[in-house]
Amino acid sequence: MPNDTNGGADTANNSVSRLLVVDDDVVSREFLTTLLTRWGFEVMDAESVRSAQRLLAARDLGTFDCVITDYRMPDLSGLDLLSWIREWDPSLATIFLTGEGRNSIVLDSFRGGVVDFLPKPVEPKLLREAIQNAVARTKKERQMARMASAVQDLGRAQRWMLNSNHGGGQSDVALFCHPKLDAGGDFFSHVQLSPSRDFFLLTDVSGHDLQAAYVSAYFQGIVRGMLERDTPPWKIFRYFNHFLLEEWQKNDTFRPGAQTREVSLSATAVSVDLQEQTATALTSGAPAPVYLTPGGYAQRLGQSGGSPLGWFPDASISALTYGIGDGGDILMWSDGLEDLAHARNVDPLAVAYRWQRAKAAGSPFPLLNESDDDVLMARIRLSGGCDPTSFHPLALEEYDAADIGKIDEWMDRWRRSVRLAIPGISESVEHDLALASREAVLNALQHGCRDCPQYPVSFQIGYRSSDNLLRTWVQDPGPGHEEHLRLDEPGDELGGAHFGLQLIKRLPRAVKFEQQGASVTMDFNSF
Amino acid sequence: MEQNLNSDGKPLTVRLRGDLTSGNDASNKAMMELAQAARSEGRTWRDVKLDLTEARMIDSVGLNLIVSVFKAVEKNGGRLSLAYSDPNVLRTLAFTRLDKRMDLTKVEPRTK
Repeated sequence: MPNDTNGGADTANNSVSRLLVVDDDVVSREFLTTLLTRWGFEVMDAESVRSAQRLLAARDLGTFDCVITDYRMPDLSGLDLLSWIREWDPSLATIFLTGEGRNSIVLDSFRGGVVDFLPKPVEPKLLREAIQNAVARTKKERQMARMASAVQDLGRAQRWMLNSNHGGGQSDVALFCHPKLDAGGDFFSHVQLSPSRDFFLLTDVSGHDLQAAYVSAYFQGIVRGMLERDTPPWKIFRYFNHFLLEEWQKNDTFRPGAQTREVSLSATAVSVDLQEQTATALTSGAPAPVYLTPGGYAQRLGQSGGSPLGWFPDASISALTYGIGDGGDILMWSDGLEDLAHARNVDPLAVAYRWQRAKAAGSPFPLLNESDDDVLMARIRLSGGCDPTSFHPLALEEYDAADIGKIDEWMDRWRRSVRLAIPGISESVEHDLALASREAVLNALQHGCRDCPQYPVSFQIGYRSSDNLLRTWVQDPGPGHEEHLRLDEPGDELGGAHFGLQLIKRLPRAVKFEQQGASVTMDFNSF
Repeated sequence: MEQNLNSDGKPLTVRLRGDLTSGNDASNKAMMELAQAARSEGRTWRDVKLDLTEARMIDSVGLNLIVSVFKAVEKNGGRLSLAYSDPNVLRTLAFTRLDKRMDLTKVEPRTK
């Protein structure tokens, strides 16, 4: 509570609060001005709404901390001034003084955003409290606006860095971002190690706050610095895991009881050597990247999941190297996209495809708004990239023989994925693709995996938009089976066991068996 | 499964719930029991009408079950007929040429 001499002083930042008094009645105006000045405020006054507007507009935003205005005045009323102030400086709190107490006036005033409403003649004690509250509210609003603006600036810097640090080399990166807030922990980096070697890194720090953005930026900086020193990526991951566990998590700088100390970082890294035609992938708690051959056949690089950095000191961090062809694409995404796909029970690749299509068409992709997380995806075009007429993957799955009872769930997921990726696909095509694929996958699990149940069956769906062709690939680990080859001689005997093969043979537009039937490729027209 | 047992010469009507696929245990069990019943001496019916109007898909397991029932019914001089609603079911039956072996009747889907 201010006393008579320093009531207007803001002890926190050693400044005096400035008030504007607006009243057409000169006696009332001068009385208020004198009283408020005596309380320690810096006071200016205006005799009308227009005069107040001129006075406010002539000064910088933030000059005044509170406006105290009469409600009823000639020409324009206090309500008009309030409405103008809400446009001009929404953070500036306004108090109404009036001799009228009609409910409708009070209601309109509060609806308009007035902070307080005091009857005339003014009771000094009430006025003093009202001013204190109003000034505090103005300062709080301005602080929040400054913070929001700082976060927006940070977000802008993040977006700039995100979009500017992956140029050069023989690779071309297309980024797809859907941040939850202005600044967050999802980030992507591209470092060119040599003319033929590139390093790509996608990270996701837990949380969607400034701390996440800070940790993410710190990690990206460390990675760039250590790569310059020829440190292998797995060593960088181990180093940062140790840093999070032994330094970040154990420091005492956070407020007692704050829930912000625990930080983990999921990351996916791929080193590509175009000369050697290899891709080395490293994932820690993140979705594994997918490599697309120039023809559009998808291959997962490494395994998704594992522990993010910052969880366990003995986290397994190891890199796997794969042979890649001459060119092709790599897709990487954060777990925000994975979660979105999971919630819809579709394959993440179907979401990825749909997002790319929407962006290419300049259309919104409303599914992203359902995400509770930041969503980030990168499509990296290596050298020549994929053939423009190649297939886009819509699903890439692996199935174990022990899970054969889940065939209905898998089939439901294929159908949903195809429906999401290709809106308007005919129901009969969707049915045929699902049924023929079901038979091929069951066949692979029952026969192909018979002697090697420890190896999964690989299944994928691809879509070629140039001719609306859907293609599925089913590959089992077995040596093949002569039974498949007999499909070239379709019989109509009711032999029972051949129905599955008949469906595989007859539902698609075209079917190709390779490796004695261990590999089955089926084509379907999507419309 | 709903069964309508008749001893007045009318076909036995069996209505299956949902798809006729390997994952639908109830339908598979019903079809196996139906095949077994069709082979038994004490049955009171000759022809069977299989109501597949709820099915949107029949896979190879389902097709094999239809063939089992078909063979059991035909062996005893009866006929198997199928009622369906979904065009994809008809296409599957046509692909496998089962439409040449048994009578198919299209029924408009029930409105819920």
